[in-house]
Amino acid sequence: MPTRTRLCAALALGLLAVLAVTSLCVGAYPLTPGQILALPGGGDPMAARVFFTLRLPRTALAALAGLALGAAGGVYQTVFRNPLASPDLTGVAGGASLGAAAAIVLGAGSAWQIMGGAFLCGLLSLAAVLGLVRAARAERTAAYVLAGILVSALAEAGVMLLKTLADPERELAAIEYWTMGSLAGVTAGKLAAAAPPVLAGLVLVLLFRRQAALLSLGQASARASGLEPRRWRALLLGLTTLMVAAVVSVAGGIAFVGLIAPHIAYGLLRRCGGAFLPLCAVTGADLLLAADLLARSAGGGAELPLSIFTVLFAAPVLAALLITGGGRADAA
Amino acid sequence: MLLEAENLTAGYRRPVVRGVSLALPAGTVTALLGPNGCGKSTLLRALSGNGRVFGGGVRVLGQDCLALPARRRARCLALLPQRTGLLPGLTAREVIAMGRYAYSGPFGGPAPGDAERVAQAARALGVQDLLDADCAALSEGQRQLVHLGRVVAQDAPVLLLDEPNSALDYTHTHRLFAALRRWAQGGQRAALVVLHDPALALRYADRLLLMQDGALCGSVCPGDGAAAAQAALRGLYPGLCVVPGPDGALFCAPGQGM
Amino acid sequence: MQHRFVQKLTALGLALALAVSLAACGAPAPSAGTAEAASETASEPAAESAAENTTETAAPDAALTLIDQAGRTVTLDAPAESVVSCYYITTYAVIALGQKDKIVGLENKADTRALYALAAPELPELPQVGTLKELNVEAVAALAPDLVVMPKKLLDNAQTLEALGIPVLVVDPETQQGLETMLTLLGQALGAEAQADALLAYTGQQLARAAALTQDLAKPEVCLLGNGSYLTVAPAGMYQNDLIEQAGGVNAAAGVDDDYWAEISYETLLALDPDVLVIPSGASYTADDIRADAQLAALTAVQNGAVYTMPQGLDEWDSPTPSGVLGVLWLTSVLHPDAYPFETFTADAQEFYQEFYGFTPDASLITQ
Repeated sequence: MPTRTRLCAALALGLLAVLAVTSLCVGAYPLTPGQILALPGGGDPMAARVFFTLRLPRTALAALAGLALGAAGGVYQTVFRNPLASPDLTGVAGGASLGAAAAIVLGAGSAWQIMGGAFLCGLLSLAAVLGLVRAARAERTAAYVLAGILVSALAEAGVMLLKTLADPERELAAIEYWTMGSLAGVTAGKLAAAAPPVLAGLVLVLLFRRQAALLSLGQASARASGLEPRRWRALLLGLTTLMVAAVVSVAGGIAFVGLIAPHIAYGLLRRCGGAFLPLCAVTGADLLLAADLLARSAGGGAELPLSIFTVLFAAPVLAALLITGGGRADAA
Repeated sequence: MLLEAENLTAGYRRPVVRGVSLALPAGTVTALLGPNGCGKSTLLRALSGNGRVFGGGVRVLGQDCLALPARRRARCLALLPQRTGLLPGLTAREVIAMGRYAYSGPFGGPAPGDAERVAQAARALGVQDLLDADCAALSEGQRQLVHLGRVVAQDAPVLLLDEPNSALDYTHTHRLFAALRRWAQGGQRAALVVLHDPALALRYADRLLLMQDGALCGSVCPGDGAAAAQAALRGLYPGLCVVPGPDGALFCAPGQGM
Repeated sequence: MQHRFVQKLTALGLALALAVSLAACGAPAPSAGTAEAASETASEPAAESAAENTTETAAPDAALTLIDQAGRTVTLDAPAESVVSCYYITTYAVIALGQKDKIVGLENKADTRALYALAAPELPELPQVGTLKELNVEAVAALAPDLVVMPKKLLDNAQTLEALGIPVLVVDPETQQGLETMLTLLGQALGAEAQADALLAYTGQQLARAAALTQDLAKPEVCLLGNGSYLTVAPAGMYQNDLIEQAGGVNAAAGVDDDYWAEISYETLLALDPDVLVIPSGASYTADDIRADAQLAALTAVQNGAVYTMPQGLDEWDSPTPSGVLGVLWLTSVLHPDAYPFETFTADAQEFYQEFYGFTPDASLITQ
């Protein structure tokens, strides 16, 4: 393993550990690190319940959601060979939000139903974007961005429509939640629902990163190298959409993590092979843990939407990218 | 015959290539010449399982090429398209290693001996010193040699190359074709190369196939002599002059009719 | 190549470790055991005292079982001694039931409610636990209350708090009926049934009185406007619709097809052409804004000077709060001053606050 890779991995994983421990110790319920350390051997039962049903699931879900979004962004940018491809800009996140909102208005009770709605609409949005790009006969960045804007706007209009149809007493608050993203409502139950699809998707996507890289050569080269491009593209995009939908269904729409995590990872590693995809995932987890820490502590007791902070993190990264000429412009 | 196409009609929404029959014998390099848009690239893609086949068949190493699963086909036949997408941030070693995908483990992991094959392919193309460089930062010519290395590392007996020299300078072009000849003569191997330069084709190919409007319109071997080559090539390049050179190889120059 | 394999193994290992830790936090093993133990020890002495003291409660066991307005079963070992209220209406209700000393935490922005300053100035100093959009469950847990009262909007959090072993009463005071059920439930949960009965009896009497006063009078058409903009009206499905009808009026916006605050255009408002416009207490605009709006100059209500504002700086009479009946009385005296003079209303209102909130508001606060 090259020195640079080792350094980057140490940095990202070290930050992840620090943020995760901080996240476990910070919250409205007073839990001292001493109390938390005493928990495995018994300790205060109320402290144990707060820690195991609220604090730990929230931290775990923040990390998991970040891993999923970061990895999804890395896969999109590799498969589409496009530095702007991400769950946000390909319409997947918007579609998933619409699906979750639709499931709520249609009376979905369980986390699985909401996740199913999010997954279905996420896939449909992605298919719509890919169909538009194909119809445009131009696999250029601009085509993806325009198609993504179009589909995201449609999804947003759908959410607006659902908002007016929703029962203001219960559903409306639940829908507003999807539009900005929050981990305040995370419990052990929600984590248990979201974790299997996210973990399964994550492990498979990481295992299949060689196939993702091969797809970046283009259809003809990929097929001639022994990889059935349509099947693998569908599989990889399906897995990432599943991860994103699972995250959206429990945490709402979290903006831009999937877009900037790969750029930060690339900026650190200067490579997009080897450890790139795992680093995208860990960077995403770092970003989301940091954003969630701020979301729960910056408001002075009030919970703030996550997207405020993720967008705040994204702005300088995207601006730097713009000014330095794209970093990884879509060369060749 | 390593590769045989019979009466192949192929294209995308509509047929572009009609009724093409050809055969690639072991140990030979075959050049495919023809004007822009005559269907050379479509033919290459169809032979490698891309695009749509409307009629006829392709056999590679005696098996029905179109029915083979992608992985097994890739072990018989490799394709280098005119343009290959390249993600910035991949090293030349990683790009060449992609050619080994057809031999990879269940999750696409590298097989034993892959690293050695990658190094060999790089040496064969003269890019062994560039292995750790970011491929996107290389010159266009170096990048093409890396891609060729990737295709060579695929260890397929049949190579299909679409204008491999389009981005190469004079030295690199000749180095590439010399490497290709050595490769073809090194065993049960054959290559089909799309070219625009009849001089290059006469110098490095064992046989020249001429194509026009989606169909083959003639073929010639440099060994048949300058007169036969000139007669055949004038069908595509009116007025072309072919003369024997000092070393016995054929030279050509554009004539009055061009 | 070796590295890759090791990396993959590490990835799988990490995933497994995560899965195991998930399973660990999914299992509520410690909480279940301790909760049972706690309820056993608490119910034993309670049962003994119940046997000695038969007048106190009707049930043979002091444990209290309620069905809340979300249909959930809520069990309390005894009437709650400390309560967290997540909504201003529930907080008002706890005050009106004479139990404000039991409040240990309440909703955000309590310092902006005039009623707290007048009736319970100590409340805004207490910890605040969130809004209807976002409840801070950890902050509630940190206060370790006997009971949490929240509206239906926060239902999701009720399950979370239950998992922490904190009883939650979900209420739904969006209609007169819902308000009365809420008061009854709260009275039981806080051991203040007598106060709840008194409040409900007063409400019933006053509603009957208003109905009797106005039954033979002409009913003017009224639009009750929203807080954020005077281009929002309360349609038929809302509590505010009942308020207008109980005060001897007709809701001009009853035909607007919506079930919550409906956004309408100037044209719609002109077409509705109500006789009276009522501005709620929390409005961000004033009657002068409406009078100065040239687009609305043609409205009957504007031309007749019939634009009224509910008193600001006292209470929320347009909402289903415990003092909601005063909203009905206020509108009755606004619409039918001959049948129910405003001075009489002012005296009635002062008496109400003295009786249920323990202070007498200055007459200058009661305006129209």
